Amino acid sequence: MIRYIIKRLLWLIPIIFCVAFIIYALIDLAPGTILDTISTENLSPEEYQQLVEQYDLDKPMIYRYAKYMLNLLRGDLGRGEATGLDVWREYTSRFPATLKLAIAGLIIGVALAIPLGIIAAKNAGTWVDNLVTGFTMIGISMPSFCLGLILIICFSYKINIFPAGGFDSGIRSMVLPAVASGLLMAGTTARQTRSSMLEVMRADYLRTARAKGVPEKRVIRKHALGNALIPIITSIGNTLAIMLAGSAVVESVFSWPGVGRLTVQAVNSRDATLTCGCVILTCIVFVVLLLIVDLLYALVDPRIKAQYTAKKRKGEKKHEKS
Amino acid sequence: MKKVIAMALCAVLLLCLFSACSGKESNTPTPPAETSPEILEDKTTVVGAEKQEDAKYQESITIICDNTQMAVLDPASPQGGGQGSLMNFNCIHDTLVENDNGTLIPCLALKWDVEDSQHYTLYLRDDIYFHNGEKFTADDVAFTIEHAKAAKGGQAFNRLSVVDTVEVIDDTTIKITLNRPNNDFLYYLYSPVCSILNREACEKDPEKGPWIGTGAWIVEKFVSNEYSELKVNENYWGEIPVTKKLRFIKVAEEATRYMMLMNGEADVAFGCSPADFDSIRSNPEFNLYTYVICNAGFVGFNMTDPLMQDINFRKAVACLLNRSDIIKGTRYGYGAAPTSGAFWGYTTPYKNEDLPLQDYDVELAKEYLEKSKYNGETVELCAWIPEFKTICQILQAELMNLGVKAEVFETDQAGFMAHCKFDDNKSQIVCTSGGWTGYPSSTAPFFTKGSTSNVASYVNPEITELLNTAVSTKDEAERERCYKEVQRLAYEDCVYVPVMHIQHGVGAAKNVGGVILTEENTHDLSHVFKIIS
Amino acid sequence: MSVENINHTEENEHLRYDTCETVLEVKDLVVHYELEDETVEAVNGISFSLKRGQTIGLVGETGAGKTTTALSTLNLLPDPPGVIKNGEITVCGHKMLELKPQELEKIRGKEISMIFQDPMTSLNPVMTVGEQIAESVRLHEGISKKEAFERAQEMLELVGIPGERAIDYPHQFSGGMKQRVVIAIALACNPYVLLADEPTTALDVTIQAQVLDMINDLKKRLGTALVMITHDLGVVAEICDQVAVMYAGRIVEYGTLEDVFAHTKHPYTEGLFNSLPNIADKNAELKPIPGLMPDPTKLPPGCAFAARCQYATEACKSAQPEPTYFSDTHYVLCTRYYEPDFRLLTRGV
Repeated sequence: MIRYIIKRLLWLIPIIFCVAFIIYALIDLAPGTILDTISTENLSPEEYQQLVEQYDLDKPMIYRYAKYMLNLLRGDLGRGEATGLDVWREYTSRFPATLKLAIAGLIIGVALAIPLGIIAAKNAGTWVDNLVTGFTMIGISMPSFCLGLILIICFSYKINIFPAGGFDSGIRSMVLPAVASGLLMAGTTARQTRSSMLEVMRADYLRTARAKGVPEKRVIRKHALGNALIPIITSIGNTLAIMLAGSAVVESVFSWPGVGRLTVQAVNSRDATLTCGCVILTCIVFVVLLLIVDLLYALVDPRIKAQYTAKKRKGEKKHEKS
Repeated sequence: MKKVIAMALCAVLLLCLFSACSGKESNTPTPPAETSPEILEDKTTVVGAEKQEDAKYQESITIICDNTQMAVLDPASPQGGGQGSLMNFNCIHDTLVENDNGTLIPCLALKWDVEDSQHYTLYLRDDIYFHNGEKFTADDVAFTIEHAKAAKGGQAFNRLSVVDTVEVIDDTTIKITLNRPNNDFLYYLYSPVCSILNREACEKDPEKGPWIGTGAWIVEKFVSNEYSELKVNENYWGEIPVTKKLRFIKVAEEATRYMMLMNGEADVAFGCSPADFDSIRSNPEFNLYTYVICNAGFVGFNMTDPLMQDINFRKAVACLLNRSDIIKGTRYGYGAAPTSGAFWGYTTPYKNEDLPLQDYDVELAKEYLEKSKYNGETVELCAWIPEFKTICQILQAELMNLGVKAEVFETDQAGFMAHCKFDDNKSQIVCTSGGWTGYPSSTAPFFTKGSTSNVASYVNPEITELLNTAVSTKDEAERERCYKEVQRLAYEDCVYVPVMHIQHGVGAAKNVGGVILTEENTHDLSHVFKIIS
Repeated sequence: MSVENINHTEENEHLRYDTCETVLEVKDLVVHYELEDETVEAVNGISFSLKRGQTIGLVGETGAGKTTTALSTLNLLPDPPGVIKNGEITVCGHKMLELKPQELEKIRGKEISMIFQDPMTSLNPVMTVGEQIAESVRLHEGISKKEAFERAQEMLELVGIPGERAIDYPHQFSGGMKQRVVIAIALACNPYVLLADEPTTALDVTIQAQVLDMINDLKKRLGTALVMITHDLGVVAEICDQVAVMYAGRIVEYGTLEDVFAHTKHPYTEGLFNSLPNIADKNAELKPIPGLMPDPTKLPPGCAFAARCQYATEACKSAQPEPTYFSDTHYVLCTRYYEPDFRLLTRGV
């Protein structure tokens, strides 16, 4: 198992190289450079040229990329070109906020989704099922900024229960943004739970369990859900990834000081160092998250655990055929 | 039976789809109920409630800033020029001089001698201390100028790059020599970007050093581009504010700003959408103070583009601006039409009122178009500010009506600046806002070779000559003549056509007072208060 | 393969049996599957009873209603769409169709168990086999986890699997071994009746024989009554005492093994025997029963087999036959037997 984990984490290295390259290429392709975000009126041509050289804008993108990677290999994420702020510090000071939001969203999403999915599966084909399906469709198709604004209007403006600006002032300010981002999670996971449960409900081993006299509640909880969990966990993992990516939108709507906002602001200033730093760090979070999801499978399904821990012996392939 | 219901539902949904595609009528905003809300007539105005005897004041006030840059709390930084940053500087720092409705009054500098437009001597106060205990001396002024000149690309650099040498005579006297005559120089110094910094603090900690100022507020916490928290400086040399804590927060969504104001999370809100202005005004718990700043929104033509070089085409486009419709459509009526055809700041002195504004005249436009060299090609309109994107679309519709093919190119700020670079101007028609201030020499960047504000890539040697004369002459009448002539020449060339002046609004709870609004959007909230009983 | 004699307190077990003589009784069972557009008449009036230690074989083609009958006995029909329209089912005195779910759960697995056809999918893939056996034991006997696990290991040994393998997962066993585990689960609490729904159909022929032997052996040692559902007459011949031949939801012939095999009466049963290939005569043609079982949603008013029966008359097609008894144990549902001299052509006396 340890070997499996290490193997997965080693993938981070090529991923980081590629991501950084893509970011540098994209920022280079985007119209405008960092010098277009400041006013260069009163600069003499020599001074302007000095600035160009300072930001290495006269060199090809590969040069800037290589310089960045060299620094990165030394563990230095650099300073934002535009602001001069230390990338690592800015990211880590905002990361807890995004993490809180992601976890809150995850909890709300999953807490809503799994019971709803089970209810829909048990009552498949009835009005209950249709109601739940309708709700999940809303969760999936409603854009989060739209949902966010609606939530603010309803619960902050019309009925003043929750604050509109999330400045990390305790649980209350976290509720609306968590619901806004969690609803997407709720929608996709509920659908996945429902279809997963429906499939599992038809399984023969449930019939065996019932024939054994296992109480229905336990049949659903232990036998059915236990097996249905695998695609559900996949779905949760994927949606968590999407939530992390879309956090920029929710954070903007609620003025939640998180890393999504930081990344957007970095792009607007055409600040390659800061953008790269944010994206790479988010990538790492992503990869670790997906690894945790995969490890969860092993916990839930012993067949997969066997796959992970299987040692490939030399010459095994040959023997299989004979 | 189920199938019948399903079919019926589908039919209903389809009908809804079609009804949503109806004409444009449903989308025009209703014009404001009353006409002409308060427009600031003075350059700086204190708005809000009056202070009262024995009043109890709220301890902490939250202010929402608009969405401009508040990345670094360093007055010299190019990333610190947004409204939020400027309001912070007004609270944390002091400047050498201050602007009282167009007149310079002493602040950190007690008096000054102006030898000619090139040599300035300033006599400074002797009793000021920075937040870190260091005494304010002329050396700090020298450092501030050095710091600004090193931070290329910032607003401070733009103002202070004209300084050639600085001579510290003693702790309270400093002599500044400019590299060329400029009689607006002292006016540059009242801007918050020229706030005085402490040399010791900045050299010790380049990042947090600029947070140390001489002003009424001390920085407690600052999160880049999110919020800043200030606490009152009990040892302030001037009037100590009655409020004890200030919080400036940056809220990204316009609608959220309004809602936060309404439900009491914020006491003052800048940057609300004009769509919400009416609700703020009609709400008895709140007041709306509107103001027009110097900036002028305009349509500019790229003078290096062959079609735009044809003055008939430019004049044709100038006739297609239906300003009242534009103001209604983009600002819900909260905008001011230019008072004359001159390309000038709204309240900047020496406006040439003798130049008639070209009204909306489709027939005249057709005439000009016929005379022009337009040959069926597609014309590009470019903008990055939301209101101006809409103006581009309106212009596009007008042009299409005349048979001119037009397309709109929308981008963000950096993309726009790259698109309209002076040396490599790829645009044709641009719609954007110009940065004007209260002193007339702020017109220069629009006509200067190589300047980023010169989006028309327009250079007129006569204008350049006049501008140079204007900043160096001490004769008021001569200055006026020069500036007015500049405006006339630009008007005749029809390069920059003024469209509208945006009327901004700030919403505040009823009992909030002490808000000083300025025409340059550098509002001073250092003495804001809220009466709670 | 024989099962080792392990120390099982059989004396105590047998004491329980004194409390009921007839372990299973089914009376006039009618089961329909009510779908959206049509109704499947799966079981149309079945009755049989089973005494302790007896074995009855339910024989018939696919779609005859055998599995439905078995599931109804446990009241485990998928509902919707399965509906028990009529009937009484008694397991050791408990009226299965009237009990509440909690009471049913106590009876299932403890007094009556069922094993299913496909061992590959009958076991929960994420639980160890030991846990699955132990679950049943703990539910019904309330013993500790440790004791239940030990019992699970004993059961595994009983079915011929080493006890150490109780910690393995189903995917680590072959098909035959899985079926043994299934049997171990079913017999863990020593039920009175075991319903076996084609337990060997999905297995290889050699394994079939082993598993059958094992079932037979266990049945004798534990005194379990057995309902063996199968379409394979050979299996019936091996272990059943009584036989019920089912067609279109009815028992068309019922009797002891000798009655049905040696003195076959119903034309359908005759057809089943005739369709068996004769290993001795390699040149003989196969004699299948022509036609197909009728559509269970559109059963004819008369005898369901009439369309395929070589002996059918008009009377057969118009009304349902009543049972004709040949002895206490042997009856048949055939209109032709109203005539006293009717005989089958190729079988029976």
